[in-house]
Amino acid sequence: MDLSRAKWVLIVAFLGLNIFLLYQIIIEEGMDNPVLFGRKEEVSRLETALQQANLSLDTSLPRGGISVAYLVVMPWQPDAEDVAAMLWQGLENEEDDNDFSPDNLVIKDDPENNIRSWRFGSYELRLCKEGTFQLQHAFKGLEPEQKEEAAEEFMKRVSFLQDFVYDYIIAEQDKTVLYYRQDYGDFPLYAGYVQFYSNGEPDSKVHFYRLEPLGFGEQQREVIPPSTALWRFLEAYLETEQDVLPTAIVEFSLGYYGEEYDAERWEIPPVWRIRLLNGEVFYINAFTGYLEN
Amino acid sequence: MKERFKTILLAGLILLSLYLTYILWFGSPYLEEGVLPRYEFASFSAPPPHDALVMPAAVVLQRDGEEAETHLLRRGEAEHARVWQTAYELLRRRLPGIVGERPTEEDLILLLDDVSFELLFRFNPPLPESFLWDNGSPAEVHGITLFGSGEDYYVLLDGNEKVLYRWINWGESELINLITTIETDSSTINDYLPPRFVLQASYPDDDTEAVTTIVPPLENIEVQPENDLTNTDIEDEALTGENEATSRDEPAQENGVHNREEDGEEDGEENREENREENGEEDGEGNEDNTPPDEMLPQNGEVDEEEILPPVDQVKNWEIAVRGHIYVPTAVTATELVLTKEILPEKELVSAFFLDPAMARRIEERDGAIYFTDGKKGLRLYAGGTVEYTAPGLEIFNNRISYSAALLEAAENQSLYGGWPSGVFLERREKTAGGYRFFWRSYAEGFPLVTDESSCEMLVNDKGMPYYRRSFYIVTDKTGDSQTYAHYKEVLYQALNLHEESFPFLQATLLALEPVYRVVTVEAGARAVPAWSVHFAETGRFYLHWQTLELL
Repeated sequence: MDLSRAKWVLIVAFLGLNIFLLYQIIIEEGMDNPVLFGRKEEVSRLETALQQANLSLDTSLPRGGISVAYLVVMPWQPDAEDVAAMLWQGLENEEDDNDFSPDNLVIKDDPENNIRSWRFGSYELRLCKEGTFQLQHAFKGLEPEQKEEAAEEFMKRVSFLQDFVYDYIIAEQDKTVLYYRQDYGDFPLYAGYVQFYSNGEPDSKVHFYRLEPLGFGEQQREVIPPSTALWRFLEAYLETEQDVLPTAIVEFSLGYYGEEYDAERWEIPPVWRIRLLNGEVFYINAFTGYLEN
Repeated sequence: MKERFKTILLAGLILLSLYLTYILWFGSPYLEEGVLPRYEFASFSAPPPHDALVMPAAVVLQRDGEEAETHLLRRGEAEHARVWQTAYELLRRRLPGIVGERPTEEDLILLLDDVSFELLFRFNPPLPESFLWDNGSPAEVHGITLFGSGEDYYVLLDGNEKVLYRWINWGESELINLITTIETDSSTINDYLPPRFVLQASYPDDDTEAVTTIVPPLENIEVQPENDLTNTDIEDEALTGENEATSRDEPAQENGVHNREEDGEEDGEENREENREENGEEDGEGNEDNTPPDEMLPQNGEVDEEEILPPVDQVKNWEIAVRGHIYVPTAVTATELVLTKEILPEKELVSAFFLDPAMARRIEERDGAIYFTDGKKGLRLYAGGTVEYTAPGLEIFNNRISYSAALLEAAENQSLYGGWPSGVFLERREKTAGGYRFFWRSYAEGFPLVTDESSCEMLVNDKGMPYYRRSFYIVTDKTGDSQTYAHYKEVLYQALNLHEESFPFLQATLLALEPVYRVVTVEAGARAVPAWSVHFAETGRFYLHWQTLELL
């Protein structure tokens, strides 16, 4: 037999074999199953645990192996009167015949609850100690669908909210919450948010909290794998939930989250955010595996 | 050339197929495997030996040939440490294997009636008995007394029960050597306050002194004569257990505050004698107007309030009941100290508290404090140097750790989380359902540096250390020469007068009286001002300036 020909035959055969093997590996590693990373027994245990918790996984798990650092932030501390003026512009309200001016502001202090509020027109802007703002009586007299559109317009019009992006919506029978979040670099900054609340009332509440990111910390380290985060989540979920009704994990993503602080500056850890269909959100610290919220 | 290429390609494909087969067979490399962290051992100083973990609150010595003199060595004094260390080593060597007796109170009183010397180590907080010998006993020792009675020598352990060990042919010479080599001087001489006494003031006719002096001069303070408070009274009280008095009180009858003659070394003693002579008649009249001292005395421990109450607008005779054992120095000196707060290096502290410091995120708070947390535990470093650590996840409500184990763990923790500064002693312990809470305090020259909070606090339980706070002061300098503290009788008189409204019946219950350093913060920094710490049951604790006797 011609040796050269034999070589060709072998090359083609091994090429086919390798393609077949590669296909098998890809299948094994999760092309069909969003959970499938790592060892089979691990996957099997996770699947069992999810079933026991009455949870299904409706999203793909991202890959681990990412190295990140803490995000250093400081509080956003604007002049509340400026905030009121910018909100006034963003609201496009029916009271625009009354020009906004600092003289129209009525300031009220509630030292017991550490809240300071400003009234302008029919709106009220509250500032809590940790730096969270609450705008009361927005979007009066709008239908629920119109409120969503109005919120979108509001986000475009208010200058200090333009770097926020749509996050998700929770719509229940008589309650709708529309979430926007802050972004920094390539990562979502879940700690900064805008939340539009409609509770079947003629007006809406808007809660917002903004951070001033200063940059990432120096020391990078690898985040825990998503499967580990999922285990930590399951432990916390089963601990906190009394009766676990069937629901699904609809989002599993990496970002930055920390609770509001009244401080000069602080570091925010990377987290794995696990969002459920029922609206619950869990933040698992991507360095320590601890539940953050 | 072409053939060679085909050969290489074929070889590559064969190798790749082998690798892929391996992957498929054994699974892919575990992408999510974490990197093992590298840990470094972080410790500020080694834990102290067992005998230094719980030092006696006081070492009290009475020697034959030093009649009516009680010497007291305080924590923080070099001699205190030396005596305790020597005694501890002696006891550790000799006590194991010796069978103790459980003596009755009567037997003890008989033995102590004929003491040639007595060396008492009083513990507060108690010493775990297992520190004396490794018997695993959970018992706690509140006092150790080494004494000679008749021809024999004894050790009395006073704890959950009293256990007496007879010193038989072992270490006699070491014991005697220890007793004879204890260095004492006038500053170690202390008066033991009897369970009950009267502090009496009589004012001279000429009130010029009273006007110009903040404190009534010492010569105006008359105390109950010796024969007014008899041995029988004391012993009766001891037997009835009213004031925890034991026959240990006997020296107090000889040199306590009621013994005016023993106070002859005090300043102004001569003046007092002169005043007594000059005002003899007036004093006599005064006594007639008021209840005579003899009638004011408690008889057999019973107090008739109607009899002892003098008219408030006249001479004040304060009747003082003493709770516990109070020794007060008669001639003690001190000077103001300049202090600075201990500042520990941030990086080392964070490394000590967090296994992987990279896990701890940093928060700069508005008050200048820096807070580190990993989500489960938090370390706050205050701008002033205070360190506070909390780990709520370690809190429990059914602690089972023993006192000695908790103490050893606390010592390890203290070494790890900042170390042991010199002059720091365990001052208090609280046993709670959540664990043992230990309190340490800094001492300087034998006196505690008193701040509103203890210098260091730690909670230890089965799960670990849920809480730790540390705020030590370091002495950096002295201001001026040493001067003498005001005499404690003046202190008592001033203290009673300052809180007169708290004692409507001119009766007071004294819980503590001791010289201390009171830490005050002034613009220039922190200073330790010598002060008398006075604690009446009716008023709570307060501090008087060591010389002016003003409230601090």
